[in-house]
Amino acid sequence: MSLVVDNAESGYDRAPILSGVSLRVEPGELVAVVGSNGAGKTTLVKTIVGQLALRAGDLADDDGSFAKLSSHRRAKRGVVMVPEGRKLFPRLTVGENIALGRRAAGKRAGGEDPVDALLDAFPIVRERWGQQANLLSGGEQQMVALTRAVAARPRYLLLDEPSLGLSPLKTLDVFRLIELIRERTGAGILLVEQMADQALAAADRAYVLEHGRIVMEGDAAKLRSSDEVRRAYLGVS
Amino acid sequence: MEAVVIGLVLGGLYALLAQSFVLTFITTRTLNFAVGEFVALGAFAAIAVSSWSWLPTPGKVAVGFLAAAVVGALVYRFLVLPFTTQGEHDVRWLLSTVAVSFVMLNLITNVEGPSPQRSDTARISGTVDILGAGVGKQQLVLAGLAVVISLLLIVVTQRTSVGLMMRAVSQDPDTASLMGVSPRAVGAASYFVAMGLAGLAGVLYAATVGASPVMGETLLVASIAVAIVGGLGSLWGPLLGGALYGVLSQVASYQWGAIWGETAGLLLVIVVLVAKPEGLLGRRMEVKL
Repeated sequence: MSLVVDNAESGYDRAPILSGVSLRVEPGELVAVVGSNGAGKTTLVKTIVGQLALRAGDLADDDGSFAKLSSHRRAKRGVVMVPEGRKLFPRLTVGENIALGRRAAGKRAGGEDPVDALLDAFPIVRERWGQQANLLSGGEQQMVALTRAVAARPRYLLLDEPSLGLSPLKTLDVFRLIELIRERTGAGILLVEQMADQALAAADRAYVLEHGRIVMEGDAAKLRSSDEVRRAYLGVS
Repeated sequence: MEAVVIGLVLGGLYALLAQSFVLTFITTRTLNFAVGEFVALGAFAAIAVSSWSWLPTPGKVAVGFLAAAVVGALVYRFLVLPFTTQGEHDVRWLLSTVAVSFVMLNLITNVEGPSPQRSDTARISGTVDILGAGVGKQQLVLAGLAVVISLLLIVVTQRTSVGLMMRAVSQDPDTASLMGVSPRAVGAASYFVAMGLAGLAGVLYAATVGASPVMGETLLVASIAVAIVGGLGSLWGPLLGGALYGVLSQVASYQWGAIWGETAGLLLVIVVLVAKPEGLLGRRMEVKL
């Protein structure tokens, strides 16, 4: 019972990026992947959801390997991503965006709807319901993107740079929302972030990615206080 | 006045075919240049079952629709989709659909022969008088159908969950697949409906001019022109484009002779392309840098 990336290799046509990457995310766990620009963080999540082809290795969830499935089938299995830059459908309303998220839920829908809890905690999304998504501010868009992903009833949720381009205050909101999502959905969350300090503070465990390889892994709090991580990613000399 | 009425009615036929260009363009960013042959395919399919007396006329029309629709979906899967995989600048589908056009034209000619065949399916004879112009009922049905189908498509895309999936794929296919929506399935469905419409137009058109392998080819230029004038990204576009193109080309040919008819229509295309390249009702494409 976990999301498993086993010895994954992937990248672009002439540029292999990930090599031998292995990691796992348990249900209900928040796992951070930190690393500098170009380390392969986005490549990693894109490979897991099938936007980039896996060249070697395997990907599996609770139901076994999904490495050969197309992107939309992985979403239907509950492997859901919030892409970098949020990628809301710009000319659909907030409500329509979230309705599309529900398309992926399928049989997993039912029971208490976690979307309601999110909308209660962050009423701004409900206030914007009928507005076209591209008219929202960056922070609001990220709220909607996260709500849309929760509407898909994720078993494993991958977040690619959710704080990108947001003010420190909005970033705080986003991290609060992520915490709430973990609590309400019980999904295993893989958080890819350049804001290493905040990501490590929020996470249970973490991996450090460098040049497409995992160079460190372990308890997030321990990594956060380790000298190497502090020097390389937290701007402490 | 007569020219205006006839132009509007003629524009309806173009609009119906333009709608099939718009439909595939919205969801897949491709155009099927073999649309003309799908018109002929629909017409001949209806002729093939015309002797089945147990099948009522709507059923025969449906055969024309379905034959073109099924072949259309297959063409998408095997001859369009594989040639769009290299990103948004991959336009190999241009060549493959033109090739489909040649192949289908030759296949249909080999099977059916080049000369026009009479088609009685869904023929409505007689004319009605509209503002002093005698308009064939058959043409009127075609024009009415273009309007009804356009409105239907607009309602479906705006109000239903299938339409929501179409709009999502149209705006961002990669993200749509993150929502469990298959852009390929939506594309295949669009080709199914779009080519089915071409087949339907073929059945009704053949009842007036007869079915021949080249019957659709003569409509192709006008319907592409209509689609471009209205805007390839808008389901309202074909109605406006069809009306403008039809009226302009008819009026021009009444005033200055037939040769100016099509010329005037194509001049309209050039004017629109210069003034508003996305078409009158189109939306400017956002270019990602």
